[in-house]
Amino acid sequence: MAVRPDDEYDYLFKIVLIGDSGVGKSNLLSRFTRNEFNLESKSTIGVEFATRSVQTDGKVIKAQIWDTAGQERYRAITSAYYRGAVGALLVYDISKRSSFENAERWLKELRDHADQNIVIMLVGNKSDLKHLRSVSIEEGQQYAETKGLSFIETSALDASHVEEAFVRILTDIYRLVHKRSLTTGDSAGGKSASGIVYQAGRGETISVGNLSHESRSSKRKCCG
Amino acid sequence: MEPGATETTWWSLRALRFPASACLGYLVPQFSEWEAQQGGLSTDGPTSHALHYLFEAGIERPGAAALNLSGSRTSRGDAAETKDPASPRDKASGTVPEITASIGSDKAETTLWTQLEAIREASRNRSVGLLTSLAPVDRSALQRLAWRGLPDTLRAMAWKMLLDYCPMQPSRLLKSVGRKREQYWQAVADLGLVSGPRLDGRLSSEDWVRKRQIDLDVPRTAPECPLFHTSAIQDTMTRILHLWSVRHPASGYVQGLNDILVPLVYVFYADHAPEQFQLDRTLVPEQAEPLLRDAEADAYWCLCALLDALQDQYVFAQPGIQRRVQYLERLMQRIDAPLCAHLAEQNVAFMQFAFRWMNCLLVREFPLPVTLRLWDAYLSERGTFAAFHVYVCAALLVRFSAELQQRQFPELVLFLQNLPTRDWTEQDISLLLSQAYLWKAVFADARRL
Repeated sequence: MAVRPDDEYDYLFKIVLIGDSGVGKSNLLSRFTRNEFNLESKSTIGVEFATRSVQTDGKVIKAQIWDTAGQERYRAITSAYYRGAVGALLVYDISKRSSFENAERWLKELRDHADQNIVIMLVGNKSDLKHLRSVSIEEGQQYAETKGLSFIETSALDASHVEEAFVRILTDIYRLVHKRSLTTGDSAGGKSASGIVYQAGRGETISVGNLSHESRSSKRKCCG
Repeated sequence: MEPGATETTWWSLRALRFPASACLGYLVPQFSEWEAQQGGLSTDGPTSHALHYLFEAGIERPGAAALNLSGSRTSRGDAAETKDPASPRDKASGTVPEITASIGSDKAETTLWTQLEAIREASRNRSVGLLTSLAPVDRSALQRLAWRGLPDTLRAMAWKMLLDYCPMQPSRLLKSVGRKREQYWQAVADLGLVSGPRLDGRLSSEDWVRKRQIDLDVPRTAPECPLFHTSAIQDTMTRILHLWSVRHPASGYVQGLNDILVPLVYVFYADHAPEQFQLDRTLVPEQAEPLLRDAEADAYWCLCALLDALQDQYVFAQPGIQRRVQYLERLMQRIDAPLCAHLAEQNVAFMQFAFRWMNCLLVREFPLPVTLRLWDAYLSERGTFAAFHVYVCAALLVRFSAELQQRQFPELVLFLQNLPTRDWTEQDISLLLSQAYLWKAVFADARRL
């Protein structure tokens, strides 16, 4: 199959979408990758995948995003996908307080199953439901600060800040990786002290643990 | 057999993309041995006899053989015969295996239809006298009929019988089903679910979690069918799912059970009020609702029966799904090694796409009418359908093997997540079932899988 323009990228980041069932993870993903929103989208069973490339700091970053099912029962299956992820969007619904309160549990999930350097962004979704709001922006912001997460409110329905959320986390990851590679002054293919692995050159591969998926992607790129 | 039938069979199989020589030639030891004795591989030699044997059992008259292989009630030990590698030899040497004798004729089929129609009418009119006068249904014949696809008008009755909810003996039908319906509504009342899906105040935190999840999932079930947006259907789904999960605490409610409930609710509702239950209807008239009390109870009990064999798919860590996905992978290694190699090379794990196929029994992958046809066959295999389902998944992969092998990650995963099956017809499913049946006939006893 011929290489399409969107296969040209500098960095490849694996991101996971996590959070309670019904907070809008799948719609955030479809809004970001296909600019679509579906009020009656089916529940996610297991995991679903989508991808999109964005440009930041003059680099093309390809995001491979794994959308996970929110129900507790699927945790055993979905947590397997945390491995190798360099970013996580922890999504809650601003109109459902319990989904915000459960953020703690999701953070624990990440601590237990994801790589320790994973970049996490707390996302308060459904910001269009102003009249039903039960978690204030300040509260979300404050919680994110205490946990060292970045924070944003989005609405997959009216598309506000969705693009920004993804671009910001991808940029954060990129800068982190870039900074680390500068600090360590390591050569291509090296492993930094932080556990982030990077390879210089176009088709660069970034992972904070399991390299299998990412190195394959870069190989595909090379092979065209 | 007519002259030329063997060749026709061969080409039909090729048309099904059945890599027959690979499969029968070296993947199955007993066929290899048999073939060696018969003079080796060729398209018009003994292989095609073996193929024809399978073809006859699996495609032209799949019901009989399906029945035999599933080890269900068989009159003459046909099951052993089908699995016995000696059978093709009998066939090749001119001995017609007994299996062909057990195949139902069109006449028998028509008789069964008439019989089911009569039972359906009599039970609707609650005519005890008439029901008593009707002969019991022959389960094997019903299984054969279902395997080939049931007519819409008889589907509800046939499914209820195949799931052992309705007795085969018409005289017992009203009493047995009546008792079950009463039990359902009593249980619903005991749970405080009776006035719609709203629960009363006796809820534990576990109940709340379950309620929240069901309330969240029911409105987003089958969004492509307006009928499932009506409050009548949504209330029904909610009550059934609640009761099922309360009574099956090891699993509780798991997302995807709502999808599995869709075919049952639709078939039983449509049976009671076909006019009101077209899939594109956006309103269920109030006067139709009382009719639906029976349909709802029927759907609940049939869900229980259906899920009996699948409990292990929904308990903690979902071991049943993991096992079936692994089996699918091993099976595919034997059936389509190049595809497996491609998936592995692209780092696509079976779990990434087959999880949903197992969890929702492929309901998400096909339009509802097509799913009904698929389930006719599943229910005809009642006891073993969970295993058969894996072969259907294998056939689905083989069907798209060429397209899959042309794609690389990530397009490959996207394709698998959204198979181009939206416009599939019953004929597509029939072909898929036939091929799945062939794989099952070939591999069911392969110990090394």
